[in-house]
Amino acid sequence: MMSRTLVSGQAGVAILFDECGIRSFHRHGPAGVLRSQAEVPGLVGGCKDVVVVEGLDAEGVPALLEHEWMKQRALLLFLLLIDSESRTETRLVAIPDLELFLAEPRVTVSVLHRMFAAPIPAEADLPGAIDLASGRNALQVMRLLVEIQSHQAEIAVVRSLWDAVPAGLFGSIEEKERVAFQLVTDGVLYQLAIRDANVKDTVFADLLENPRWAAAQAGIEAWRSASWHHWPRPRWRAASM
Amino acid sequence: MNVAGSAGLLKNEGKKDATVTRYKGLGVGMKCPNPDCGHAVRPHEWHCVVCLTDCGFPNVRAARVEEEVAALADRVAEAERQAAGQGAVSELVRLRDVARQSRAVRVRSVDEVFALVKSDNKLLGTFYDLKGAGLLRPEATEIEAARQSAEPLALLNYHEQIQFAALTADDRGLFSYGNCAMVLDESKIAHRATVFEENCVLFCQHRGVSPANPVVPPGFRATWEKRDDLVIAKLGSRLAADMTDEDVAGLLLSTDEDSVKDDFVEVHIYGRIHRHTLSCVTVKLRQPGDRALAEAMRPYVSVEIA
Repeated sequence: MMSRTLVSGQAGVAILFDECGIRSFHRHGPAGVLRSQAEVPGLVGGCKDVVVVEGLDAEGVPALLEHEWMKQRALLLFLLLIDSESRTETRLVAIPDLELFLAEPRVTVSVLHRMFAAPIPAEADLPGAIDLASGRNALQVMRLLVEIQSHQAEIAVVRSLWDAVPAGLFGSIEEKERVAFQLVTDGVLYQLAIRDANVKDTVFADLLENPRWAAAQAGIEAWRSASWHHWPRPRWRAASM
Repeated sequence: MNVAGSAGLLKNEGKKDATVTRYKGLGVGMKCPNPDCGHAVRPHEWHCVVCLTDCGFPNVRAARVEEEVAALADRVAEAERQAAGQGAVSELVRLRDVARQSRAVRVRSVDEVFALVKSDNKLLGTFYDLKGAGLLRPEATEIEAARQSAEPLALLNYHEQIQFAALTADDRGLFSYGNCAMVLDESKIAHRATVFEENCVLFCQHRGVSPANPVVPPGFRATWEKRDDLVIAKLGSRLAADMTDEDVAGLLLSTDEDSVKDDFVEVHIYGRIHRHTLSCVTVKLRQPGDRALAEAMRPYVSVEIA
């Protein structure tokens, strides 16, 4: 049987289902504890960040768990830092630990991708966060904040174009949301926002050539077409039409 | 899996009297208390399916069943005899006091508790919500099915509505499940909470309760108000003369990094937990970011750093 691993960075737990049974792995805790199915509720509880990974062996689980936890924790700290409703003391406490997490490039990329999913909401305080990070000399944090702040206009355009694509082209609202989540975590929205306008279309072209997105082709085509109203159509395509 | 069906829970097979229907040790139904209705209400049903009259939380009704109350009383009497034989009568009194003041605690990761506390809309979900969302796909082997059914047998047909916690004397919890202990506000749960001898999965394993032998023996559960009786029944025989207050209180809950070795009285709370259900939280600082999350919860709930 192919193994299946449930990982929740939020809970700090991974649960491996394989031919040996059900085993749990805990951050800074025991690894490979045999479990009954009935114990699974107590382990992952109501965490909504559960990801499923297939084909992983027991040796690979702790590293996956650590990475998922770091991604989740870094994102949480980042959101605390930019939240104008957070107390200043809380925001300040978050900075050194966030700086620590951002030393891992994969974590930085993950936070960046997630923060390019949509424009920062009104209650966020990016300038204030930059001031606080500057005061703590947290260079990685500052760099991240500045990059996110500087692309807000493009992030808003990318997102509004996506929102305008009818869910029916993906089959259902749920499927569109599932595709959106994958596009965000894969960094597609990030790429669309940061690339120069005259090469943004190559991001769509790459997507459409990738068989992984075959089921979402109609929706992605519509997204691409809508983008031509905002960004220059590539010359080769303009010439051929 | 329809546990009731597989366990042979057939309403018509039960013995009936004027107000209740017995299900061969699998629970006791009742007649709807609405005088204009009187329809049969099954053990797992909170409301009458005909008129939606509130018939009481199923776990609380289960703990009030005559056989349960009588069996628990027998166990309490036996525990008191044993304690007297050990010269531990004063310790028994202290244990009862500890139990009466005990609270329900549930431990999760600080990340998860933060998510609950931060939002007025978020409700702490259950495993079954995840399964319903297609996130969990348990293997459908016979062995797994048998394991999965242990919990439902102790909470027949309403297990999906139950949140689990443990009794605590000092607001510390089962830190093998995470680093943040949520102490629940008694006034928000007492009417919908019951206590059970131990982790109900282990209970069924220890006593051979399974789909083939689905009857959960009586005397191992109690209402919240009677939790001291269950504590005495379970722990009375462990008392010894000259135990300190700390020793006595420590009997209530012992925890290890490996949750299989945890020993506690399990609390079953019907329905969800909202942030306002919490009385306070205790955070063990274990990893970077824990302090920031603990600080961020302070505007919403009383926070203690351990």
